[in-house]
Amino acid sequence: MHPLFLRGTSPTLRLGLLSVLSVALMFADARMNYLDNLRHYFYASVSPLYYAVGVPIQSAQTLAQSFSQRRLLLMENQHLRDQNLRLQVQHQRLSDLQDENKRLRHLLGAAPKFVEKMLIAEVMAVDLDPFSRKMVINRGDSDDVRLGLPVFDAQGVMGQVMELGSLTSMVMLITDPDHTLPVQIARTGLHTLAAGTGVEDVLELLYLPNTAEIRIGDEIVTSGLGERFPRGYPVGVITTFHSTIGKSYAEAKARPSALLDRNRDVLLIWPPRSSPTEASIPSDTPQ
Amino acid sequence: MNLDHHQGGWVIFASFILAILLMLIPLPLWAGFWRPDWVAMVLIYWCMALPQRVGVFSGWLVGLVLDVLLGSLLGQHALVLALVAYLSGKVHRRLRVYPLRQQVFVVFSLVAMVHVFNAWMRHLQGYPTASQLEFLYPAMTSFFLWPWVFISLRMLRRGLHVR
Repeated sequence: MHPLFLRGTSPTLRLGLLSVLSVALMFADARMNYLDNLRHYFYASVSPLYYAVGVPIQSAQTLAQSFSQRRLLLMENQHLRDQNLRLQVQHQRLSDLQDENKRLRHLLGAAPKFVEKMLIAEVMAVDLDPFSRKMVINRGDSDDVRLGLPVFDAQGVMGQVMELGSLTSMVMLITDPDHTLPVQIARTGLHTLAAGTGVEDVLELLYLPNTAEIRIGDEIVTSGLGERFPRGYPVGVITTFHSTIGKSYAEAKARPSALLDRNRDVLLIWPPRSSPTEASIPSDTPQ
Repeated sequence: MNLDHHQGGWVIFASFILAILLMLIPLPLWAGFWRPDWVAMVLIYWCMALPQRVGVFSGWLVGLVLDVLLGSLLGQHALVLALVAYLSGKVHRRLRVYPLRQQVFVVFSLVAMVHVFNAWMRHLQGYPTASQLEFLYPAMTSFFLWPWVFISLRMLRRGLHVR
């Protein structure tokens, strides 16, 4: 027999207590960093669920691929061969420049800053909230991934690792409204910040003086300040620029270079350990 | 509460896990906006069928897991799903005797409440507000899928003697 009246704390009281708790959690999660550890712990314990969804789908896709047409494969192979040749030629020139740069830096007494380690990761076949600007990749703690690690694709910066599980991690894209990264206008060297807007292909540049010299089509690259992102990687291209005399700052928007929502393979790049001469800048991304 | 009569808890647990997995299954971008709210539907069903087992706290817990997995603000889904559990527990006697065509309207309003709340939280976080009523699409698909969810969960509950 079921009891006619349910005993224990009344649901109303329980709802009240849990609502207060939830509001406190939300506030603490959004405004303070107290909960970061708690959140990372939760993430690590529930992230295997991503595997339960992602792995069957991914293996089905691989299976489908292995049956794909010979003609398509040949075409793709040819295309990749061409691309490889082009890249190798470019690389010859770059490695020469890199050597020269190293020599010059050595002469100046500055520590060389080159990338230490890279790893290719796959974006997992898992959907998050369609409105959010985040994704899950198949590398985690066991691959030496750590929080704040920058993520790239062939075209530019994608985002950084915000949650870490043992085999997966969650990446916050540069278009997320919580994300800001220090950038530079490549042509003029002007430093600024590129903040996400929540729209999938719009970045906003912050605190630009009204007199800033910016043209539509200017490329923006990471500036390396904040020490999260290595410097010199493409971030986006300026699409609009308005300076109004009455306002304190000029408004500029950019389109990200990376294909943020159409990628399967991404690249994790470990920034070189900062040398004592250049380590005085506080790291403050994301906000 | 006499716990000796409770059995088949794993069915409830498994149905929630399945609902969470269905929330993560990749869909094409346009279809993502239409994803039915599986978790809310499963929660409404259990709160209606077994209010002495699944209630506000279960809703809150499932919401918390969803928050972590979907990357939303910690406590966002937890709060609103606790509210869904509370409301559907409150009206479970009435809900049970409603015919399905009447139940779907209750489900529609509860799911719509979840998504209006989520849209509101997204707005507070600085995401651009959806220009259309995109956040109500999940309520519509849940409206049409509820009869199937209801019937299959009821079959499970009866067949596996979940009490």
